[in-house]
Amino acid sequence: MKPRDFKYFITQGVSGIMSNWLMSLASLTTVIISLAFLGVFIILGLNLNSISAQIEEQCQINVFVPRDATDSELKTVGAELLKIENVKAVDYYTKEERYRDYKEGRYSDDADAIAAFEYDNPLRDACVITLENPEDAQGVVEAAAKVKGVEEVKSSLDLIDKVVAITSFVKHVTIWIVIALLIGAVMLISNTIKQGLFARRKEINIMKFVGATNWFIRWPFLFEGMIIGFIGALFSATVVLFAYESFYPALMEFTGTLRIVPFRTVYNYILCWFMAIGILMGVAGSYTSIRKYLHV
Amino acid sequence: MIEFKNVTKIYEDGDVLALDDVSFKVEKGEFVFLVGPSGAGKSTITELIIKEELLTSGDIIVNNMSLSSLPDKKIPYLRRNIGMVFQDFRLLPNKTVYENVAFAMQVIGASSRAIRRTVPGVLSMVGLSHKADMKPSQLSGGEQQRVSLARAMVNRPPVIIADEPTGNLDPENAQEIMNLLEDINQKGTTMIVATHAKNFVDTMQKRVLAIEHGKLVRDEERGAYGYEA
Repeated sequence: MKPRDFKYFITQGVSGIMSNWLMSLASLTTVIISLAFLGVFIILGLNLNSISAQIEEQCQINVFVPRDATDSELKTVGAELLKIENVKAVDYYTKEERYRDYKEGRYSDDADAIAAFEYDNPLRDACVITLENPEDAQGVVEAAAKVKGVEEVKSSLDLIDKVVAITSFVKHVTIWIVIALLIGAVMLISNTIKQGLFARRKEINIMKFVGATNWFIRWPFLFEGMIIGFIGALFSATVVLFAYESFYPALMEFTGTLRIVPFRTVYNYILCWFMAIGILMGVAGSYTSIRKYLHV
Repeated sequence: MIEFKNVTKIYEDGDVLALDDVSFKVEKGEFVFLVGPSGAGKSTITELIIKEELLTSGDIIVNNMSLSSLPDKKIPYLRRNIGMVFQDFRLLPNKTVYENVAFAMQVIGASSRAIRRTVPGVLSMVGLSHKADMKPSQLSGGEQQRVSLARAMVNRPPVIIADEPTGNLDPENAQEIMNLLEDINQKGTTMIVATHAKNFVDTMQKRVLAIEHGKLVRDEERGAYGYEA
């Protein structure tokens, strides 16, 4: 493609959009909405991955012995736990220490609970496991549960499972919405191009008679679709990124110690994906119409 | 230049025999009238030459290109060798006279410099320099046909095919168009004119090919129209 042809195709593409602006606007809107949903999907996915990794990283495994277990029984369990592969260290966390932490921490403003605990400490002694390699926590949890004298094993992996379950549900719903919207947007673009082809059939006919190549006739319509996709992507990316930036502090507060994915990372992902998918949608929409209605 | 070799054309929808074993040869620089009753096959001949229609059997040679074996993607390059003029002008109503002519150069990838250099000369040849900025709707039929002629010749094709170029024009404008076609022909462009205009055929004394029911019934060096007008 020569530079002057490129300029011609772009100009023709833009004039096609302008002359059919209502349909173009409808297409543009669906591109923006479908990509915005895609943005939610991407942001959700990125953060889920990041949060899961962080939880795994900080993974703490607490192994509880029965309430009536003696000190030596606790030590025996601790020694057994140390033999498990991937266990780096075992610390003891007695019910008295746990009671003190509770009194000063979680229940500090609940006098009734403290009084009840004072009367009869319901807590159990625990061994706290530090891992060699946090990624392989699940194996250690399973092995620890089998150790004799262990009543219960608790770990933050349970939390990961919950987070994964909820977000994967949301992700599934979102992806179907995204797919439906993307298809809708492509169909609308295709319809817009079809109308453009119809409006310019005389011009196309003359182009054929004077010897324009098929691609010379097709390109302006492809550009028309691509421009709609490109502008839609740019607009949608701006909205999504602005929203993420605005909600970022609130999200940070919500997730507490868990860091959410920084704006810069999301920015790169969103911009690249939106541009690629937006332009691709434009091409797909125009090409289906060109194939169907432009007999060149 | 253009040679029909035993060309037969059957339109598949309706099974119509439009051309039946037609053979003729048009040499470079010739002026040929294509005559015959409506529906005789004149338009089929022009459509076959630009490969708007596919031939059923036989072959057509245009500028040493065999159309029976010409791949579809070469069709645009075939058409760049043939200027087309139609009875209904086929101008773009939203473009000016200048733009209509420039458009033909633009779509085959001419530079804007070449366009600026060529179009005014062609417009002056057809006598429309002063109306370059007007829209087709502001022109008379004869002037519109002159624009379409300018468009057909702007890429300097070796052949111009005119399909009923005077069909929609009054006698005066028709005369002007015929004079122009003759002028262009005298500068070396091969001219094939399908027409019902008896008076021009009779007075201009050019070669006449007469088609009836898809058959070539007459090929005369200095022929006459031969039908009732």
